[in-house]
Amino acid sequence: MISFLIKRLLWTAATMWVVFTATFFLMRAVPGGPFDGERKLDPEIKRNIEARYGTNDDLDVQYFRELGRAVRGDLGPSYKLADFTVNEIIAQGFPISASLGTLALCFALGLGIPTGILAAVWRGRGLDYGPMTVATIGMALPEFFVAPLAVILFVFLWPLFPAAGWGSWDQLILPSVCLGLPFAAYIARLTRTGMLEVLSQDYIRTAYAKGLTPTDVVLRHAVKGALLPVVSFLGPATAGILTGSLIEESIFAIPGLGIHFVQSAQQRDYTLAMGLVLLYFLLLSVMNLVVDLLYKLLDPRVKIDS
Amino acid sequence: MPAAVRKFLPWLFPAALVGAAAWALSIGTLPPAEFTFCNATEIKSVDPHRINGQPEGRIVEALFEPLLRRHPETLQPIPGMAERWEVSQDLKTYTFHIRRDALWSDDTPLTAEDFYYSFRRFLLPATGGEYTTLFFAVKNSEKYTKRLLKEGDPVEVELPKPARSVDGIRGEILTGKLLKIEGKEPEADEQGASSDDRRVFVVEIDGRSRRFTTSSDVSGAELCQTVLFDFREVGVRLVDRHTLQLVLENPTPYFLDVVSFYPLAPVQRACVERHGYPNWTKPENIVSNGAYRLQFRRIRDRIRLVKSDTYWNRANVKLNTIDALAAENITTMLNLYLTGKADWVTDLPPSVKPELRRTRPKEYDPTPQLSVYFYRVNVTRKPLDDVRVRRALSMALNRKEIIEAGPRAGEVPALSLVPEGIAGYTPANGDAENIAEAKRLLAEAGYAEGRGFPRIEILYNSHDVHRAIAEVIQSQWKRHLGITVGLVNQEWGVFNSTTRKLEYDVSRAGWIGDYNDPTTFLDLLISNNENNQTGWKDAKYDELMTAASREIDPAKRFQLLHDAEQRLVEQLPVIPMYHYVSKEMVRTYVKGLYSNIREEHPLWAVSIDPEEKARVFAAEGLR
Repeated sequence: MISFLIKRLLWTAATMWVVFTATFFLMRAVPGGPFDGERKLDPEIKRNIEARYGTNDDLDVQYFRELGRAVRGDLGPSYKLADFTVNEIIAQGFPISASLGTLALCFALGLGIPTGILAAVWRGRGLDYGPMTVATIGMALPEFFVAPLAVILFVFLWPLFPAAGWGSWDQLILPSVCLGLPFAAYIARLTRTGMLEVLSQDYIRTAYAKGLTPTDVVLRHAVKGALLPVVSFLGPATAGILTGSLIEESIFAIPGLGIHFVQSAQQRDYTLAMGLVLLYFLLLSVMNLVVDLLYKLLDPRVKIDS
Repeated sequence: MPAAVRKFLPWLFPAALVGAAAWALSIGTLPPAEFTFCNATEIKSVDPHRINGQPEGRIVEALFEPLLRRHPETLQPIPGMAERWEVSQDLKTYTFHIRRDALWSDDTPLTAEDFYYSFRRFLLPATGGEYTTLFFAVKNSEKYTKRLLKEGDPVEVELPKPARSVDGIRGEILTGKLLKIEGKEPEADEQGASSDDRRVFVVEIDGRSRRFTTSSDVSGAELCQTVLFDFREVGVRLVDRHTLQLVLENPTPYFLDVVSFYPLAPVQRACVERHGYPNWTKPENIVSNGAYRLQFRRIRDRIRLVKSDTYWNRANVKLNTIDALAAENITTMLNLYLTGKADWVTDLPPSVKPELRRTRPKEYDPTPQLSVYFYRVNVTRKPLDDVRVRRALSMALNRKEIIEAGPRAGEVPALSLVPEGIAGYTPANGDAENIAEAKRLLAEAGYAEGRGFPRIEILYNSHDVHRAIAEVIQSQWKRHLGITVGLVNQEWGVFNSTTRKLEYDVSRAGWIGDYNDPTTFLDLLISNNENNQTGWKDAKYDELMTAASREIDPAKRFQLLHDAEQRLVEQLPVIPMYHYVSKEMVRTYVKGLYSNIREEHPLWAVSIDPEEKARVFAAEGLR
């Protein structure tokens, strides 16, 4: 177990270094730079600005300087939000994106898993087709359609919730539900598939043979096995959802990290983009590790040391 | 053991739910500010010397006050930190008298020395000011900022800074005469990166010749931070504690406009040098001199401003708190406005503009702006190097149709680069739509009915409105001239770089006037201007522009500028499309926010009429 964790840690470090290097050079290979606005700066003035940020040093000098800084956990100053460091931007934005993401995930799990179980148990009947049709549609509808629709319905036609913002309980509901819906749909389908497979296994027949009630069989024996595909989906999904959603954050004016992801790339904010990519990969690695550990807990047949 | 963990698992989800909700709620809600507006983006900085955008300007103008302010309705310069000023006979020396009761927000007096320090900091190359070009009307300031040095010049040498000093502290400064520069100026490559400056500056200081270099690789010279033109020779003069003089290179009729512009606001030396950049801009450290103070900044959420109790004119500042929201989504901005959470929005979705004009005429009333939407033409490429082709392209356009398809807010068709609205100036008169003449010119250039005309491309940055406009132009040129035009869209950063390198045929552009004078537009097309980006170099145009910059008589000067613009619209290195109209919408209960030609609204003038607000909220069922 310990050697497994150490091995994973080393792999994570190596992956992060590869990601850092690829991001560093790819970003600088794209035409345009952080100081190319519509209003072109006088070359001498531009040189002054670049000297401030050290972007006129040779690329290898920049690379090792930034790598050294990143290893120490300092992501440097942001180019576009010049009053802040990348660490400050992440410290302010990540808790907001992460809390929105967690609420959305809880909603998705709370709706998706029971729906999937019910659909599998009542396979081939109305309670299967109805929710599964809704789930298929839910997965197909893009966020930029669902969120504005929700605003029209629940902000203007039936004014239950505020149009935008983050911080009070009524501001949490619409964005969390809109962000969670497609995940709920996907989880419902995964749960149903997993459940159907488990229900046909020998040990379930044995459980019935022992005389257990259907409720006991489903909840105590089948669900654990049926959740394995959901758990492996949750790893990368959690990393994605915690680092923010561009569309929900933009439509509901939530000051999370999602918008930074897109804008830092568009505006060539090299340091901010790098910080976000590293954060995402770190989360992804951690989540995949958690998934592997959960597998062991849910399914005794899995051995992680091997 | 795993069994216990397994039992615990189902409880993980409700725990996460409660935890996340508590976490989200812990940010807490704030009591709303008295006045809330959508600033449309998270601003780059609150340091007045380092910014150049309109959203930044709105905040910085509230925090810092230059020598002069602008009248909220006419935008004419009015007294600010300077209570009065005089201009010399030759229109080259401006003397400003700073008010005795001027205070910083830490209650210390603000004097002429603060402005002297601030102008120097603004111009200092290391500050990286983006708007310094505006200050170049002041004598020798360009030499200082751009490090233009020649032998015999008075110079200042900044010695290395003390170790671990904050960004804002300068090293010891020596002054002397530049005797010689050894070595070559470094060449900047395409990316703007420059190789090391390995020059050696030989400077005579106190009768002794000393050698300085900024490169640690060069031996046989003292290491220094930088060598600049001597600031004492720049036209900024400290007369006494309350009097400051600015001496200009040429008479500059719009100079007071420049003086009232936010990059010329002062910052406090003690604050900057104690905390350094960017820490001095933090709400807990910042010292400012404007009508408002910075209470807090939440990234991508809002900036909260509170009324300053040290501001000289505080008796006339009506609002106690102001929120500037950073929301960027224009539909969200509109939603906030319609639900009563924002009182002023600075932009609107184009699709709803026609309806808003009909349903809310008092709140949304677009008026012409000091700005222009135009196409750059790359005159270094065939067949666009032929002026007849450029004129044919312009004459084949129906600008009304372009506006109806694109921005749709009653924009004004443009046949000149400079819009109406600058008192005393008559914009040039370009060729209006004339399809027969356009066809004739194209035939004369050798492309009758478009035969043999190579395929050209319109380049624009990815945006719905730009695409809609480009599509209409594409079809108009096809229909009227029989030429085939392709459309290329590029993401903003790439687009700017492509345009700059002249790797386009026709490229979309917009320009917003910085000050109330035709030169804010016409300077663009001077041969060596960085923003020319068309490859057009015209000796006659440059000559007229130079003559205008030396002319003292305002009427004659405007005539010269008009002639230059006439030359421009006949040569058409740029094809004007339309002049923008204002994009903002504001509630009727907001007072002191007048429509003007730059959508500039000093926040010290804004107030709320509570009775009107109660009436509007009741009528619309808002809380």
